[in-house]
Amino acid sequence: MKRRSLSLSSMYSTSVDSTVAVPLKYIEFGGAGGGGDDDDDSVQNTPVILMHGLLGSKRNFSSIGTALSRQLKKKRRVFAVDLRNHGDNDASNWKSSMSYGDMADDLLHFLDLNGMEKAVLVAHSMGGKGEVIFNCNIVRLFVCALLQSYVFSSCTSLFFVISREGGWVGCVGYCTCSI
Amino acid sequence: VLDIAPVRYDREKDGSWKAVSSIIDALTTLQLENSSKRDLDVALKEKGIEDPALRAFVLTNIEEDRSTHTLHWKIDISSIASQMHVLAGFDLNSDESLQYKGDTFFINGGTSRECFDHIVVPLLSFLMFVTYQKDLSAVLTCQQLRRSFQII
Repeated sequence: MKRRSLSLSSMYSTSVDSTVAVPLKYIEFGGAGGGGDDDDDSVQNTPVILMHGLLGSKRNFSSIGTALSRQLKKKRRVFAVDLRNHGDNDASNWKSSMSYGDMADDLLHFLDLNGMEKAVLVAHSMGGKGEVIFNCNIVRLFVCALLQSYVFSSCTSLFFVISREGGWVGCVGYCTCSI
Repeated sequence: VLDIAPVRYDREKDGSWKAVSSIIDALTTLQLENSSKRDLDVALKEKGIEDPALRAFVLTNIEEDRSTHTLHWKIDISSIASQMHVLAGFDLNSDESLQYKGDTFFINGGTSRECFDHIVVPLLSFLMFVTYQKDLSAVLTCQQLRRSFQII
């Protein structure tokens, strides 16, 4: 993966003002250092970051995040973030601009703050568009796939995750009612 | 990435985006003063949000101050509402350098109500190495999925 210092939002016409990246509130699942037995590995391996959809929050991923931190064959730290203007982000950090470039910038800032060079991104809906921008620009290393199912209800998504680097993971959980 | 494609969604053409927009509209008209969460739940139902789980989900974004018993938004709903046209869009130039150059495995759910050509075709253009699979069964067993992924 190539890192870029250039601000992503500057590349998009939708950015109305040159916003400063929001320091996103986040949660780490399985305790600091990851859920694995071998903490050294979980710190060394590329972390997983979960991104919610519109009106969602990092809490949407509680079951998935916990399951991931326990079940990943290759132990990784697992995080979920609150995207800008969502979740527990302080009202003092609310921004009038919400372009996908802005969201990608926020995520880049999150990686920088936490000393992460790269990440496996798992994203739903609105978070997914931000992820596409992010990946097209920066991230090289990730293979993950998610599968939606209408088995339980119209608003239920089943999450399957596969990682070429880490091997088969399996169904790690499901969440309901994200937009 | 789940449930969305890097394309512009149109309120008139895409039923699911219209539904999302309607929810945001309903939320912006809520009166939080002198209301309880129960009142808001009833109000949202009256505004056409039938699914109680969906109402509960959106109401997680409203918080009650324990000392004053007043409600307030936890999220910047006014910015979200005013940026809906930005959220609907996807203003990435179709520049080849912005293609995702890693391998991608794309599953089109057999009973998906989201995968139309006008959404899937632009999505695929962002991906350089894509394996596409349309699965006809709504439920894949883990074994089937594992086999599918051996393609990549």
